Amino acid sequence: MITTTSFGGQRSMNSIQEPVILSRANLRTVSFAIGFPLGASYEPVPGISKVLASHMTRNTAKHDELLFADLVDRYGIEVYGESGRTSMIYTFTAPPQHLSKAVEILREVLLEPKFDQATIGKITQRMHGSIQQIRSTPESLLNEYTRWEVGYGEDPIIKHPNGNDESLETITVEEMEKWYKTLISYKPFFAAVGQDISQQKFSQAGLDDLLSSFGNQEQTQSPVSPSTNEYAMKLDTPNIPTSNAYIGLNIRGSDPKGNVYEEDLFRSIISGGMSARMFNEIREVRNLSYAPRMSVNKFTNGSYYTAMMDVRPDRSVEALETTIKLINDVITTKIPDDEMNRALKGAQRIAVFVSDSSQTYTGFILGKLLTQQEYDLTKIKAGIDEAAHSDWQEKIAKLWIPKNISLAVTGEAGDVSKVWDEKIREVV
Amino acid sequence: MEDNFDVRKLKNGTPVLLATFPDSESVTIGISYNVGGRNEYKRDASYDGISHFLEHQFFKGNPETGLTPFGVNAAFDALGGISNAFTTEDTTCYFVKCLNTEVYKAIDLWNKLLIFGKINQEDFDKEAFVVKQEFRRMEDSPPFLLYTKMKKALNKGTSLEMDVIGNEASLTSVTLEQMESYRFEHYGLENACLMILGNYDKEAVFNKLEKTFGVKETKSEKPRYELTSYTPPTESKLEILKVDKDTPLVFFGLGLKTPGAKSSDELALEILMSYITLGKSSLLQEKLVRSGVCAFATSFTQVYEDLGNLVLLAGAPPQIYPQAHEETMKMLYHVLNMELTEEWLENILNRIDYDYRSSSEEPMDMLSSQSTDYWRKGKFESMEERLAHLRSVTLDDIDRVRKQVFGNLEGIYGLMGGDTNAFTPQFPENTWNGTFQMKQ
Repeated sequence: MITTTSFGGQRSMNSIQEPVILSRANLRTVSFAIGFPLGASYEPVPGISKVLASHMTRNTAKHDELLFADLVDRYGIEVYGESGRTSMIYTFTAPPQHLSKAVEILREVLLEPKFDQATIGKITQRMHGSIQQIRSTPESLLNEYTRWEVGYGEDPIIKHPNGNDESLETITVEEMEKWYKTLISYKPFFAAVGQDISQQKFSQAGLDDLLSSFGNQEQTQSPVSPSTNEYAMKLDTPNIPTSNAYIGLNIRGSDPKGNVYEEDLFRSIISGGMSARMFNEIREVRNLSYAPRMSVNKFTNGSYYTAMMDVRPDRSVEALETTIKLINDVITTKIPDDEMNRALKGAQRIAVFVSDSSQTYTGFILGKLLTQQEYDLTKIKAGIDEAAHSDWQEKIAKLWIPKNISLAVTGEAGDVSKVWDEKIREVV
Repeated sequence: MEDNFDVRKLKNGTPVLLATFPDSESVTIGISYNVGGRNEYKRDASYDGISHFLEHQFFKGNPETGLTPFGVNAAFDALGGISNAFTTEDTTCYFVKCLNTEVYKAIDLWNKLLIFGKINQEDFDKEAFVVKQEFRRMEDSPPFLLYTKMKKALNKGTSLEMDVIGNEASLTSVTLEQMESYRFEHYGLENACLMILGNYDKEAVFNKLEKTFGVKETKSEKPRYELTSYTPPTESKLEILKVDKDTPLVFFGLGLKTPGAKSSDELALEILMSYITLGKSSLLQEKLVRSGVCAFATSFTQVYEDLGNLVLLAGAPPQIYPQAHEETMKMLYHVLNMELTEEWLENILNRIDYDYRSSSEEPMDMLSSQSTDYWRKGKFESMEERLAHLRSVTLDDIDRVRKQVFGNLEGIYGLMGGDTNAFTPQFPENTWNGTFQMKQ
């Protein structure tokens, strides 16, 4: 049984969005997360949000790094601070009996940070390594950089949370303090899922006090501008030789705050299971790739779909041609009823399976809150069902237009650039 | 919440784990076979990777099942399910996670897929291509490539040396007839166990299993693979394995052997390994990650029934690699010499307790660990049982194990990327008295 509760009470809670707290008996832990609508897209120094999130979950004014690590391990609390392209999220997972302690530590992390140049140096050192690692792995290069750069040009959304080698060297304690003050001036979102939790328990643990400590600012800047892709293409060469080419056909989607279930359905038909079009046509019928799939990123004011695959260089052209055709077919021809039913189940099961893990479910809800989407699983399932019975193809066809489409490639991929230019213009 | 384990046997002797998760809307069903790379050892080279290849082939159906390859995939998707499989050195596990309303249909589907029919030659040829593609993909991931090469070198001369995925040559030369005979030999229910985890009617599901899997015939003996044993090293000697890949980061790692899962030292070993690798305050995090010396550091601990493998893997920029190497070696030397106290032990046990709760929350995660542990430990073991056993370990037990594993350091030192000639790894001063040798 799911219990949905929310805060409110007598206090002035102007600065917070309504927290979501769900109790589920099948879970063994409690997860909670707080998210701010601020990330790499908005930062003054590339990479600083990630350094900030990492620093804040390493030490506090009360506990240095060693003591902090001992403290969280003593209570079995997992702590993650991460920065995405449009959000910063602090996630805690704890045994139910240590909920109060976990909230107390969250408070300390968020309100009593202590920055120092030595720790900043250690964090940026790792981030330099991480940048190099991505650039040495062709699939990561495609996923993390190439497809964003080709699909969004100079828009802020292309800024990677890792920053770059030059910017990381310029991050100082002063910059961090300034960016931290900006962070807490924003109105955060809060979600919690776990065993035997309630509004009262979080309240007793001091959550409402904590949440009232933040500012009232909302994110008003869009990280994306209107698209002008016009079949853009970008080829990147990883800094080591590769065995495969990695191809990503990108489509810019809608602003997720409209709950665009038609797009969820579209993705499910393309890549929602082993009988879905990409897996079947690319892997099973043509044996072109081991892991073909369509990924989706939903962020503030936008979403991004990429049909990606690993493919042998000499078969890249065939893979690209096949992918263009199969996407076009899904949008322009009638989908058989049994396929539609499978796709519907595929889209809906995501909303069922997230609830088997407190951390996954919490992340799911917070992601929805940050992008102003529906988070209630029953309503999501109903929304997808409704979309399946509407003229969803008409909506998707509006995305499948030249200005929304682009191609990203890493590794040696034969004549894909020529084929791209010809084939995509034939159908779109 | 407890594991709610109920372990039973079907009338043909197949073990079944029934674990219930109230409130969940899913059921995860798995069938695990005690077969993998180890069974391919000392056979014709065409058999290298055949267990993993067969794992792929299983999803192709056959005329006797009445299912085409697409039919199998569509049937799983119609359950609202996510189906997949994995193969290791000693385990091949197939599983599906589906809506709990579809549990009986899912059991029927699995039962049908176990019918041994004729494998279609065209499907066989096509899938060989997909597996080769999987192989190539792995080659594009430098850390994983180094790990697999180190593991092979560490276990050379034993059945654990096999590459689970096989190689280009074996995937080209293996025949359909070899696959069919291998399947007949290894994939009977005498060599399998079943796992059902989620929210379902336990008695009704067990009855369904009896009527489906329970009526299948089983052979009187299960297939075996060659076992090895653990011998504590008598000198410190690390063989350097250089893997030729020109990455900007230097990837390096240490591969060591440890006692196996059926050893009496297995519990103490888990405590020791947890101290090194588990949690924010673990040695790995403190010395290699938080210190900033490594861009990443991770560990792979596999404890097979007869022998364990500990592989530490890290990546660092070339200019920092010498420091990262030294920190790694000193970290392990510290394990050998640190003071063991009851308070330290209690902290580690609590850390393990919390980690168990977290890592067994998702039924698919629980299935994944139980499916291999069953063959390695010889039983399904609930979280509560395991924790009780761990709490019986003494400091003397841990001291004995650390001296065995770290008293002398013998194993493989893997190296990839950067200018690998610019620095020659050695044991740091005031640690072990031993040598690093280039592997021939």
